[in-house]
Amino acid sequence: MTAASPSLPVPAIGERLPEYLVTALDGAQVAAYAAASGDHNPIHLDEDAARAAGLSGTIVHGMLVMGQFEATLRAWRPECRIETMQTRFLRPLAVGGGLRIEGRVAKVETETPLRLIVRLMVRDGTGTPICVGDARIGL
Amino acid sequence: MADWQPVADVDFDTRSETVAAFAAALAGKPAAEATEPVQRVPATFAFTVLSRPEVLRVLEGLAADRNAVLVHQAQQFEYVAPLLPDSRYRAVVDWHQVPERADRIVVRARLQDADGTEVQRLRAEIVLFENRRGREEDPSL
Repeated sequence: MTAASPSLPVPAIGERLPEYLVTALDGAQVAAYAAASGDHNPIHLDEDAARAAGLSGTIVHGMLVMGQFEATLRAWRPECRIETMQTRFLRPLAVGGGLRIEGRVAKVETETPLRLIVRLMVRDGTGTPICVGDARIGL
Repeated sequence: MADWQPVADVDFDTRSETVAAFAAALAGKPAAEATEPVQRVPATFAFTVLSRPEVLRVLEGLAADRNAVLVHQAQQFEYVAPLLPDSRYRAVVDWHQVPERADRIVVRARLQDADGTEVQRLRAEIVLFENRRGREEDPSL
């Protein structure tokens, strides 16, 4: 993948981004994220605490999931400039679960400078949507 | 108009080691790789301001009032400018109750650079999730 340049064609509305796969967000990665982010909420780290809170078990930090959006966008256009990014969670992701992130160009806001709206969807390992969002990016 | 309540004004920095550890955790890379210098602060790094003790103290207090835990439902970032490695910022954090949803709050952080220019804004809608015995499924989060 090369860096974005003026010679790159304007993406067509509906163009799909390469799928971004995360095999598993396991306990080690969740613990590392907790340490790095300072978010030690026990629903992410402690099975007993998660169950006591009414969950089926520990769940991945939402922001660890959302953080994969940036990776998805940069795998497609490494030098993109993210102007806005928003997400809404539909379901929690159990620790150990995998992700598949799909994206498509929903709108070309301006061509000069090139500014796009990209819609993103995260599916868990069973293909169930767990998170939707969008980003406005400049290229 | 939302009735924003102050949470804290926070000194926030992007020390390379901290940012590198965060980037490595996001990528699922070994911690040893976190020692490499970072070229770019991850887009979601600013969210860590909500984990600062002076912020958590307030948010966890709101959850404790309902015997609940904090679960993020939705997030929104607006970037005026990227955060730069090894830089200092000030974050103004406040919150409001979601109207007609006693179990939902919105938390907002506005990050300013050393000149006082706003560089990023983020909002998080947070569920004060209560354990209701007899629940058969996890919440729709």
